Amino acid sequence: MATLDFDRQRHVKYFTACLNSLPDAYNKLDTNRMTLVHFAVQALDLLGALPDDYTCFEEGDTKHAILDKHAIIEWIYGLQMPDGGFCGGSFLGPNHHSHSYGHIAMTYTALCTLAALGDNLSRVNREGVLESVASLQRDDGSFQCIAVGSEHDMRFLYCACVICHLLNDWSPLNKDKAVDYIESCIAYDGGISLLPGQEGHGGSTFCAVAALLLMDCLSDTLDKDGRRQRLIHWCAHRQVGGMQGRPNKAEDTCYSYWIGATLTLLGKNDLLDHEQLQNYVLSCQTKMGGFSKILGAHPDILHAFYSMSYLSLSSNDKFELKQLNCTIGIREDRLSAFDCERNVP
Amino acid sequence: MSLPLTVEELPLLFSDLAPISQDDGPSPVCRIAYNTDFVAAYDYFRAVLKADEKTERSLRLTSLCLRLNPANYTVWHFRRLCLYELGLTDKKVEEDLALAAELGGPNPKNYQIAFHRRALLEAIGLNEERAKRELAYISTVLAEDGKNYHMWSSRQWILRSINSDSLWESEVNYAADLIVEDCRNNSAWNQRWFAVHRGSQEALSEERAKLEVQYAIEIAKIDPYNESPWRYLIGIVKENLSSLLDISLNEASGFDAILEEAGRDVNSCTNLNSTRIDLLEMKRTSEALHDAIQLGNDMALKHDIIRKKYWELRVSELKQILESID
Repeated sequence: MATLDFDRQRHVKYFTACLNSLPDAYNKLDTNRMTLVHFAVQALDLLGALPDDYTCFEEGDTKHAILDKHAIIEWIYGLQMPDGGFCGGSFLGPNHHSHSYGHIAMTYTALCTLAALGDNLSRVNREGVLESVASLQRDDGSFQCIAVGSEHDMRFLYCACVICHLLNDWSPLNKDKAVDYIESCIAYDGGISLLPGQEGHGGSTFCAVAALLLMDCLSDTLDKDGRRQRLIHWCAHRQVGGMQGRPNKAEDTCYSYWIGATLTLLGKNDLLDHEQLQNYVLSCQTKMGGFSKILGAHPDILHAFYSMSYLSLSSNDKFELKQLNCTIGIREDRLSAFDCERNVP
Repeated sequence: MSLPLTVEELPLLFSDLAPISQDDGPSPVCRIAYNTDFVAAYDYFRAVLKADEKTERSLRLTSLCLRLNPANYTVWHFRRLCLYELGLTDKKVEEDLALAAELGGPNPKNYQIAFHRRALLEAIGLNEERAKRELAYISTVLAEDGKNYHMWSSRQWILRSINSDSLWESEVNYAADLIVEDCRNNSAWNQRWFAVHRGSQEALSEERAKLEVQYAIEIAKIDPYNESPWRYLIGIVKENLSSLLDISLNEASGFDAILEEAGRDVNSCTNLNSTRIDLLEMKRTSEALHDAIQLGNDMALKHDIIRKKYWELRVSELKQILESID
């Protein structure tokens, strides 16, 4: 049975095991392995369990070097594409020319994971990354994820903003169009959707607010027409005990982060009932470590990472988790790796 | 269409091509325990990709690869290149839509499958006939899960592309049917908004807005605790303030009797009272704001305690407005 005590050691074991190998149920995430590495590494980093911290995984008197971070760094660089950006895995084989710019979400997570691992990013093809971002913005201001064509929505707009922010170069991104796109995604009930006209959704709401913040357009966009108030109303009403992603949908642990982080970015984190929300998230803690999406299910890396991220942003040291930067989604103190201003909101 | 390719047939079909193993480097991370079928199929896919061979046998290989991982966007993309190279026909599009439907069933949250459908329909041309067939397909998926985000996105794309009055009106009816089945289906409410507005952000005519207010009220009567109709109502009123405000306040006050008759405490109906607060704030008279503040205080203290701090914030904002008008 799940316990409501935060089971630190089990989580360290869970994420470490994931970094090593994953069962074949993860076949369908083969193209997204970079994001899986990101989730596991960032989670361990929040736990303070990466090797260069002194609270690493211990068994008895033995301090285990729980992973070889240099190996991970090499693996990541091995996925840097010839023209720029990163791919999510090695599934392409030696023919790169059709996807020479990688995938925007893999580029975002590659940069974040390199920073978490203490890499100095000197081997990142900076110009290539920026070109890869430039190749992906569409006329309506949204972003697709690969140059040859894909779906386009708020997720990739967020990724683009994070990349530009981390590299301190906004030249590949048309901010006016991006903001127009975000405005066109404000739904009638105050939430923000993935696409214009679509339903307000926790994930896209976070992506939009974080993107606006990174583009330094948050106030200008939200402080008209009562938008900020309606957005806060919408977010606050997603808590039904645990957190739902849309009105009248079931609770799901990852929305604790998407909504919790959104409110944090709006300076309104305190509006949530964190005791109830933490209880819900902790009740999704599993015996294998990690967290599941809903009560009684198996854990998966994504929900485990976002549950951990939520606990970090809500807790003020209660779970001995490091401080998370909610805008970027990595440990606050890892941002010094990037040549941008330290005062990320 | 030829029979589905099996892994066993691969070495014979591709006897002239050497399969290429995945090169994960010396210390792979997050290694997936692929089964042998997966490895075999993708070893040949890498070979075909390198050779840039867009033929019938490559097409068959992509089917096999997609059955093993329907989320591999490179395989979908290469499949489309094969289809274009071999000549895209109506029949080919139908066959691929059938494959996408087959894979979509067990993978309802897969972005790549929805994108493939759209890419093919755009390539062959989305006319009204194809649009109707696609809407019919989407309806079958929504019948299983009426809140499938990808499917609603696809519907919106189709409606915007065709942009015909008859299709917009039938969509309003479709959304209404789904709301009859489940008045709490917020996606259906969103779709009603979308269809009634013809996919634009322009405000409705006052006449149409009145009808929408009436509709929301009628559905709210089925279950006043349901958030969806109330947020819809507020959206409509906000868009078209003037006359709708008093009508809405009037209708909302009628719920006291409705709830009493059902033996429920009107104070417990937080979505109704939240709506009242919003309407009273819009009314912006001293009396209205006092009422709103009272309701807000009750929410914080007694009726919506999980959102206590939100209601306290709301009340403080209402007090600021009150001060500014006094």
